[in-house]
Amino acid sequence: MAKKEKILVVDDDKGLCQLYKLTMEQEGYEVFTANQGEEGLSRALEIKPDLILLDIMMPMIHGLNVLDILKATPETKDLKVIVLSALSDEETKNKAREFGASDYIVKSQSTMAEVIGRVADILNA
Amino acid sequence: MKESNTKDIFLEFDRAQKLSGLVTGASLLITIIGVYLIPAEEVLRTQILIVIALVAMFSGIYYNSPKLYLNPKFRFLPDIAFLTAGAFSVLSSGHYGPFFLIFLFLIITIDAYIFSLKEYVVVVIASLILINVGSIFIWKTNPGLAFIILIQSFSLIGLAIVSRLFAGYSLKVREQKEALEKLNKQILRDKRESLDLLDSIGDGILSINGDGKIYLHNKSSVDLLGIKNLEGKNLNEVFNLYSRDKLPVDILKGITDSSPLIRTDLYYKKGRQWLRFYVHLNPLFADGALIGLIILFRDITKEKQMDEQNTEFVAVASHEMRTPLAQIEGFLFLAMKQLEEVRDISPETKNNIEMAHNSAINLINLTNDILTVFKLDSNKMEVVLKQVKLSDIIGGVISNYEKDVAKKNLKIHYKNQCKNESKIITDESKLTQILSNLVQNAIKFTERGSVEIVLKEDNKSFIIKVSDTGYGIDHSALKHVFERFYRPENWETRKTQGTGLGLYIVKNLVERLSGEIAVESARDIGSTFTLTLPKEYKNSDDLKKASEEELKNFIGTF
Repeated sequence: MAKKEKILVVDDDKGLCQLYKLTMEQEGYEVFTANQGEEGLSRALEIKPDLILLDIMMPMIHGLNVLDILKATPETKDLKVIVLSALSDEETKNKAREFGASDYIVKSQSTMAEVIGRVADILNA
Repeated sequence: MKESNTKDIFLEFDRAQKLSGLVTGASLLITIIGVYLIPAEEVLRTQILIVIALVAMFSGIYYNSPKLYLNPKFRFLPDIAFLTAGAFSVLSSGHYGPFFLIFLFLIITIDAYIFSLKEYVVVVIASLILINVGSIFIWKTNPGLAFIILIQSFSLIGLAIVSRLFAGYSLKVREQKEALEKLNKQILRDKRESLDLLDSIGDGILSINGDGKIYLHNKSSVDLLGIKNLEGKNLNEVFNLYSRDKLPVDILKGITDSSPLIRTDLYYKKGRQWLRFYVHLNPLFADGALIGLIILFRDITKEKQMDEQNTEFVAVASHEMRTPLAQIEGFLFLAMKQLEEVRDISPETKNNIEMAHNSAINLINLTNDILTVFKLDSNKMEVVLKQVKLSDIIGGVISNYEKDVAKKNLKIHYKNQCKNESKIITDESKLTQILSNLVQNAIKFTERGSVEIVLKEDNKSFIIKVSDTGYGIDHSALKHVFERFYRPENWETRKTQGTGLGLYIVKNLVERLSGEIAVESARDIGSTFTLTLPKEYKNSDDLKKASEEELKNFIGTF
């Protein structure tokens, strides 16, 4: 059996963090969590995950800034990032793509089954 | 124009009256002179003058009281009076009888405007006969006198005819004047009533003439603008409107033809207060030139504030609902997954969790649909234009639903009948949403058979048909399917779930993309939804919004 793929979930909502962690673990991934942007950045450097699920609306450092820094840092610039957001407006979506996000998931517009599907798609791509 | 016309008529009227008076006076004078010039031996001159005075008095009273002379009941009063006087004078004055006849003839002629033309002719002929017969009698005793009388008579008849003409005209004018006065009073009363009505309206009303000056306004406009003397003022002196950014706005610039202009986004500064105005501008055109404006305006500050609060509430509420809803759905999904591995659990429990999970998904869909409808209805749906390939979008939508199709043992076909690449400038995510809704519906309402998607093109547009072999829609329900919350009664019994908003959203999104959607259906045969998208995007505002760089990219790729 191949080595477990690593996913880092960065979300200030602890409930959501827990949900993604449990669900992704259920799907057979190794999951790490961070509750704020700064922690997310340091964990990303430390773990070098295969995929980051990044929330946008976070206090302190905004998710888009985290994404920008990740993509600007040589060690983390190749990491795949899926942006999670409660915002569905086109501007944020386009910005996320511009900053190098692999996918953009609007929370609650996508069911958990869809999130799993998209995570698998991105990791297999 | 009209005013000067009426003035002329009244001038003529005065002149005619004066002339009639003059002619009467001249006739009287000539008669009196005649009475004195010609020797009167048989009869006392005073006797003759008393008769003249009586007739003159009667005429004076009669012609100066319109109640008498305008009343058809009294039309024969002067005739009776003059004939009585005539008979008396002929009998009493002997040789001077013809003078009286002339005088009476003149008076009756002045009175002619009471007569009809026919009566007038009779009077003239009768008088001529009387005068000539009288003259023949006088001729026997005094030939010279008879000659003078004849000359005088005919010249007086000439004068009388002229006076008759003026007098007739004078009556006509008098009638016109009376009618005009009556009409004028009526108009004034009506105007007062309309002004009262205008004043009782809560909206401000301004009527502007061609020079841009206010010539009519109601009470509310004074209250709303906070300016007392509006009449005669220039519109741009008192009716200054501003945009949201407090920049002056010239509303007159928006007028190009006679179609009314309605703005609800303008502000007016009343003292220190900014008021949001609803402004309805009705231009009045004549022969292609702007001759006036009717402006109706209303203070909508409070309504707009409430509106915005409601809008914000819906936006915040739905936003806040998203995260917990996603978690409920997510944890239920997780629970379902975990239960799959537990062996000694009753299928009922599994089923319960699955039902809860389905309900959570439905609630999420409903929230999302409500948000979409809210955005569509409040015009907040932004369009992001990009060049896309229709076949790619359709392919993507189909792959999303492959699992659902397989679950129901259906088949899904896609036929691309376009000769060229199906490139189009449109909003990708909205088109995806439209097609997803249509395909999802097709799968939902089909138990056996297949779902088919056909992409075609003609000169002007791309046509996407989504057909199914499902239940179909009743003919009576067809025209309602795009309405909000519309669900045919029997659909519910077939255990389909939905919000009743899907097709309403589809129709609105299609319209937002300048496209059209139509539906055909037959019971138990299936439904076909036909989406037509113009090859050239029509909404110029959206095109402007698309950034220039992106536009360059579109052009570059063609």
